[in-house]
Amino acid sequence: MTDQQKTQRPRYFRTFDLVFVVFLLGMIGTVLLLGHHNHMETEKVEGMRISATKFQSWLEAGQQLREAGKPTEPIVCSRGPRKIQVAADASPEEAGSKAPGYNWHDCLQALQAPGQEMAGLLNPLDPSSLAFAGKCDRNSLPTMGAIIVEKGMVGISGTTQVIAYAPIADHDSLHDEVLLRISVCGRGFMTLSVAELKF
Amino acid sequence: MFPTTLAELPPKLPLRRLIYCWLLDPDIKDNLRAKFDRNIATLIIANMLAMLFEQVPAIYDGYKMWFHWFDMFSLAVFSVEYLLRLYLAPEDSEFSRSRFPRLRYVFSLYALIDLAAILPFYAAFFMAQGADLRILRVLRLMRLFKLFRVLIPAIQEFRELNRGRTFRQQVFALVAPSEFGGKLHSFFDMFIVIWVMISVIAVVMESVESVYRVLALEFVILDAVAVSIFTFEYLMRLYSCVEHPKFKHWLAGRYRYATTPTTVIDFLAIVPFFLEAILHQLFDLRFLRVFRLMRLMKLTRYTGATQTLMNAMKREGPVIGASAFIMMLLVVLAASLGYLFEHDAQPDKFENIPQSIYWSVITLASVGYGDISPVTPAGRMITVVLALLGIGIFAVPAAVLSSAFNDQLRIDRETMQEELYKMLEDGTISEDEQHTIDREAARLNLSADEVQRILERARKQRDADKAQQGGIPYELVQEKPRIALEQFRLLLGQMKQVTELADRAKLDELLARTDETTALERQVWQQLTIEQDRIAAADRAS
Repeated sequence: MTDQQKTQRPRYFRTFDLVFVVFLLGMIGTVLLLGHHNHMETEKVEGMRISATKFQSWLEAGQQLREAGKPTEPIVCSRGPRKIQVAADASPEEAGSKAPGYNWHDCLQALQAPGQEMAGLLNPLDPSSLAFAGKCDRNSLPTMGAIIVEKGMVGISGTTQVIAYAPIADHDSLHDEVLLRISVCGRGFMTLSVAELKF
Repeated sequence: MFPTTLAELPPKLPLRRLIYCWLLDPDIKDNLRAKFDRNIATLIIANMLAMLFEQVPAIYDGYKMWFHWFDMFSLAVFSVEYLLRLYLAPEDSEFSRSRFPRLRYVFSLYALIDLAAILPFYAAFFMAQGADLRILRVLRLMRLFKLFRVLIPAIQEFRELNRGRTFRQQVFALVAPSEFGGKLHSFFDMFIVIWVMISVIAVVMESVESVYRVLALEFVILDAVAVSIFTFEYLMRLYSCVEHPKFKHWLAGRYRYATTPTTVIDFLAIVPFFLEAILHQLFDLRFLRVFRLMRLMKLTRYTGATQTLMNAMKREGPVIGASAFIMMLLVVLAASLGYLFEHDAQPDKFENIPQSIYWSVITLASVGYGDISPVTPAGRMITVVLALLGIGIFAVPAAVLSSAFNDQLRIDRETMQEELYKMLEDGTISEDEQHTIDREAARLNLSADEVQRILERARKQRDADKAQQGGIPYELVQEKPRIALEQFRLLLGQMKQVTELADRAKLDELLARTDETTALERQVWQQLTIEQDRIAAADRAS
């Protein structure tokens, strides 16, 4: 091959090719890094789902005690006395505070106390966020990763019976039996349902 | 001469040779070698999937026995394959020249790979009881290396085809169909298609809660791997597209390529992953999950069906447009009349004209949900007319489209026949031409029988044309010296026949007329008669 031919022949690997290869490797690295991050976060959410399943088991066991008229452990999660009548124009907070029975807020707090069923439960995505929430709310970042507890209300639409779910409020009484839906607020605010049960 | 088809095999061949010719001989085109290799490759991939699923307790625990028997079956097949290759080694030209062909085979690279794939199982028998067998399970991954039996020759062929070409040209040959791609390009395509299928199945299964509950983490890993592969493919295409004459400029060319429909689909197939990973805390990006199903559209790159449909729609565009216009006219008119007659009777249902449009479309399309129905006599009359018209109105574009699709397929097949006709001009079909035929046949969804029929038709047409022309086309004689020689021989043979059969005395007399014949004609005639006399004298002497 002559020198002229050598110079005419395009080079096998040029600077731009190197830039491409580096960029390509960088992109693959980024995808793998993001994939790893996704995996870690999904693992955390899965951990929370296991906790939610544990909570579900506790609710099922508690329901049996409640049906037998026995107190549950912790005691603030027991049925308690019937809620007293309050003025019709009273605010929900006021109505809740006047109820002598136990409410959901106290029950969930007590459940997370040391030695209890859900002791040390933290939001896996952000430990400073909520562990329990009433709604997987995309406008509220702290709800991501939390266990969602909702109460079901039976309604009639036409001839069909439908159940509408609403967030459990802190002051909601534990006296009356309610239909509960337990789920986990996953990544991207995707709700992962765990169970529906009565408590 | 060595046989190149099974039909050419000599009778009473020794059994070993016969088995080799039927199963492994690369020189015999119609033997079972390709099928044999393909089935082994499929089994290897199935083994890899089984090994992956074994790591998922929720799947493995329920189907332990199935996994075990599948492993046994695979092992039996791989063992038989190894022994068969060992038995047939003396027939293989690569080893037959050696003094100990089987020994040579045993130490060849492929044989070592094959052995490594089955050895861990047999080694377990010789290991001490209670020994940790987990390492043997890991060694089963060696089965993956069996794929090299197919890959290495493809890589060698690719390197041969791309000798002296630049890095970017080689990348282009790998990702885009070209004469330099060879088998490796086909494998690359197949690899992408398999991952598209896996990824789409995963996205669909993710929506099944009971499955997602068990395989949530595996889905995340699968998605990351799929996106890595698709990103790799997307960047390679974007980087090397400038090798295509249509996208030559380094920036404008790449931009033009990036905005082509198939490349946009490629982009949409990967972008949800990045958006979801980065922005999931800020927005509800659940809708992006559905976008991942766009990956299925990546397959449009590998099938001609969408292109055929697009061509058909383009061709019949005016007719489809006209019927769409009439449909729109009818919908708006019927909706207005429906609103006019029904609004007073049912203000909640025929609240406004847009709502009436919904009713008229549902009626016209013969769907008839029944959620909105007329109650006034005039409204019902319109419904009757609309429903009857709907049958015809909707049938027109459907029929046009269907017939256009058929026409397009016919045109494609005729084009292919013309291509075949051209390929047959030299009387044979080369390997490259065969490759083109296979690719076109796959694009047009033609079976081997159909291709054979089209080929036969093209051949007959060519023969008929040749006969009509009285010989081989002049261009071919100009281009191919061998064909010119054959033609020369043919003509000479015909001239000899004329010399033999004709009345020589009378022909001599005719040729002697100098005003009617040329000197060359007389000279050739003289030569031929001398030659004929010589042959006749030789015959008499013998």
